[in-house]
Amino acid sequence: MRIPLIQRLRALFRRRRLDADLDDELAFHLDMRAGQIEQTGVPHADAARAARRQFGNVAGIREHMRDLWSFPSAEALWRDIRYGARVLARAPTFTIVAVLTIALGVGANTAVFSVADAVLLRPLPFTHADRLVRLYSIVGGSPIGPSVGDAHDFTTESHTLQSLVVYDVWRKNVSGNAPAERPEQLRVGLVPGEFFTALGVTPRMGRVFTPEEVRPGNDKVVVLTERYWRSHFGASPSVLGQAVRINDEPYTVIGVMPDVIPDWLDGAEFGPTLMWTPYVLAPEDFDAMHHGDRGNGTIGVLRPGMTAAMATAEMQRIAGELAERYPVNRGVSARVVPLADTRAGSLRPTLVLLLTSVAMILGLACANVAGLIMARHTARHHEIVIRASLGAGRWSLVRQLAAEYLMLALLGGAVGLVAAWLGGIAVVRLHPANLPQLAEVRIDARVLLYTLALSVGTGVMFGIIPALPATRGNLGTAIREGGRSGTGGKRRQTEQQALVVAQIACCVILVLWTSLLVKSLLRLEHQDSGFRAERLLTAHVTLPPVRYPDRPDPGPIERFNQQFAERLRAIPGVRDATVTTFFPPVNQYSRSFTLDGRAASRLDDMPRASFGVVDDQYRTTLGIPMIEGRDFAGSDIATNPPVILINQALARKYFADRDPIAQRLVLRQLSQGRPDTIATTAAIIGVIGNTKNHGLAVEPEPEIIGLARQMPDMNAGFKYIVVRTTSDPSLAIESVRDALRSIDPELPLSQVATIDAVMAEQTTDRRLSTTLLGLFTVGGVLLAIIGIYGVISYFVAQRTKEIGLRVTLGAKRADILWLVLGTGLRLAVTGIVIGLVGGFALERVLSRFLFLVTATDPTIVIGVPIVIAGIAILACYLPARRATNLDPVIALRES
Amino acid sequence: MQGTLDMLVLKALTRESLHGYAVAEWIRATSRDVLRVQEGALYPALHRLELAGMLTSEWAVSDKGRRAKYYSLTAAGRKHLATEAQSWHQLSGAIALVMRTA
Repeated sequence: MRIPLIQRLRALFRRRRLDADLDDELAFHLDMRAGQIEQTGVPHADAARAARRQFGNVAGIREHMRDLWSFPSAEALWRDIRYGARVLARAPTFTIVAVLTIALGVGANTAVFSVADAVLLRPLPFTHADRLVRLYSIVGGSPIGPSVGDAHDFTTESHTLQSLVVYDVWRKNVSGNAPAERPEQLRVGLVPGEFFTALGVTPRMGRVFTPEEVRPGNDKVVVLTERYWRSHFGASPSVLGQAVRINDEPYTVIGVMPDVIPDWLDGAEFGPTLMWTPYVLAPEDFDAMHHGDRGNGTIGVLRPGMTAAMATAEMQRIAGELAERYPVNRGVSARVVPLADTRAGSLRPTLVLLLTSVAMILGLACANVAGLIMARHTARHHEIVIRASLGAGRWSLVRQLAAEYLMLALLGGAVGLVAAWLGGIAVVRLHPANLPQLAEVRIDARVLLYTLALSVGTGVMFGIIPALPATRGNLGTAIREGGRSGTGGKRRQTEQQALVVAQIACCVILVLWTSLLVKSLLRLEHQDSGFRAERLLTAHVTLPPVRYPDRPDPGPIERFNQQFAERLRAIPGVRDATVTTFFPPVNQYSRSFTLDGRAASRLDDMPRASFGVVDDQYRTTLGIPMIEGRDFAGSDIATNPPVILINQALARKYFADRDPIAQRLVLRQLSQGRPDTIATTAAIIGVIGNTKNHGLAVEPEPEIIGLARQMPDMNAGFKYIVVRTTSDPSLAIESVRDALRSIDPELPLSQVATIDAVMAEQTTDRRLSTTLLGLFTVGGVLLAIIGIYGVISYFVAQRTKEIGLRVTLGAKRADILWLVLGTGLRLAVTGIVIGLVGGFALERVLSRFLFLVTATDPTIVIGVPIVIAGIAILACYLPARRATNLDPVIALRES
Repeated sequence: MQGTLDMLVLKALTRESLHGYAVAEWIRATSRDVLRVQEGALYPALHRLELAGMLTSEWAVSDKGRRAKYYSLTAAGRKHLATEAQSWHQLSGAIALVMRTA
């Protein structure tokens, strides 16, 4: 017979009445029975007792009946919670320290988890997200997007891929429909209609490209992102059919795509992709030479049941066949990667590092709280044993301790969550534009669940497991150990000391890592850049091919170069200016070349070097030292035979045994047409100093610099300017804009930045991870200090009697000080040794971040232990002082 | 057997409303002193039956002039008693049959 819930709930509100009724009812029964017994001649008092005896355990039955109309387990839980809350409230210092400690541990983990979830774990916002992949060609060990031809061959021969979409992203000058709107440089995706079908996204309005629109002539249509539609068309419902000007040509809007395609998909170097136009491919894009024209983006869809690993195996086989067929594919392999795995990008190693370090912080926090609880348990051992001997079941004792510590853990978790949320806001607000993945960081149900699980797990770790032995105690031991003189047992002390050693070890690892990262970052940011970086302003201009064709004759482009450079140099406050295709620390262009007289027998035998075309003021503007020979000059006119500069790296690699000056290089443009027809022979006139060309952390690669006016086939419509000013470079921005406007009012000046900002962007992810790790390390060191302080204080308190005795027997202050400090130091040294070993064992986590610093950097390996030992001594000093100041009489009386 | 006690309690209340003591006494007297209800079990049974909707209760003044809690059968209780009684008869009849065979 089940008692309906509604009855129990109703009973809950009539509690007092029901209690009183029950008492009355039982009293009535007992009186009646007693009266009956009395009638048999038994005296009144005896009759009442007999009635009671006959009835049984009145209190027990009353309890049992009360449980009938209530929720026994829930009420017991509520009782435990109330009791726990009272216990915690009675020890506010303990509670606050414990809650803050847990908050630090859980908060740090929640914060890092929310980032890890956003960039590593959370499913992609696409249908069939688990089947989406990217295909890369592997050239010289590094991944690059495949060529259109390769992708076509891969797709037609594949059994693992259902489809493979090839697309590209270009910087273009775009203006919306407003007549007065000036063009701005944006990123425009060049995609087939299948790009959207592969991702499973459908337009908010309108449609995507038809196969006809991907052919030349029909391609002047555009799909906008929702945000561009909102910002430039005021979310107008009649946008379809209106025009957008892209690189001076009108495109008709045919669709608006919701903002579900994330920015990390194509990197964020040049800002987000805000619209798409058809990717028009001509038959020659698939010919043998164009197989070498790599660098496209891809979205692949695996057939159901296939994995990326299976696809990789297949693609490697196909890549082998392609290498037989096309010379430009020799030595080129392939790899298929789940799309979700490409999301983290440069953040992946950062996250591995941070996840490892916050795990250590949580360990530190748990150890600290466990230490606090152990110290408290010694005091509470008595209480627990007495409660056990008064009949409290072991289960109910455990349940009560569990309630208490879980409450502590949840409280700490809640505080930590708030801290992580605030920290998350800070990170997202600071979030660098070149890490668009961070925009997706948020505290959602997944993160909340994680925090809850972590808090409960933490509570179990620090509280309940160490508490179990206490509930096993018996009255005998408790009485024998007697009140406050109880030493807590040798085992407990060993446990506590082990915790301190572990804390110091974690601390050493954290401080070691932070020091190495900071040193790397400093080295990276303060290395010799090879040029003078002060007061340099940079910007980019995209010249639309309609008005600035690069073929057959880039005359308009070259006229623009010269005019713009002249106007820039005429600006007051501008000392030097150059128009170039690149500037340090990155040069994204490269070119194959052969040394004159050593013609390569095969295309893939040709070395490649970074390559750029500049004007004759490039070297002087950037302040790169001339090592040998001469710089470009005004006399190197367009009609003269081409001349080039090389950097020291190229001179050392290819001209170690002879003078490079006057040597000839044959530069070959692989990606357009046949190599022989586009080969340019150029004479080396000078060697200049190395500047970084693959980022700050990579040694400069060989580089060739030509004059734009002498190399028309390489004079394309993407131009950077670099300007050195006499004062703050940002003051020159408006003048530079004016100069550009005076030449061509339709050209936007974009990517305007000082070179300092460009360099800083290079180290964004490092700075982010170093800052976060530094913060966590500070937290970790604080926790360790509290931990050591707590344990040593406890040690002194435990030994009060012994110390008193020693003092009485004539021990000097120094002896006592040494007794305490020695204990602390012994623990510290053990921890440091373990920490150093652990730090080296985990070096792999860090190696990617190290720059010109090794994990065994002597100043760090020696410095960190000294610092940690110093901190440990400091943490021990206060308790040690207290020990030396003990009055032996009081100390002895305490027992 | 809890079910048996419930059945006896319900049976005791078929004719009139009774308080707990009277229920115990009625069962004892009707069974000619054979069935002595454990008083400690009686009250939980009464309360359980009441909560389950088999009984209702009200406070009234007893013949001795004291306030007492009187229980009476509800329609659900009557129905429950009928089914319980039927299965009890089946069971006891079956046991008797088994015991009667030599």
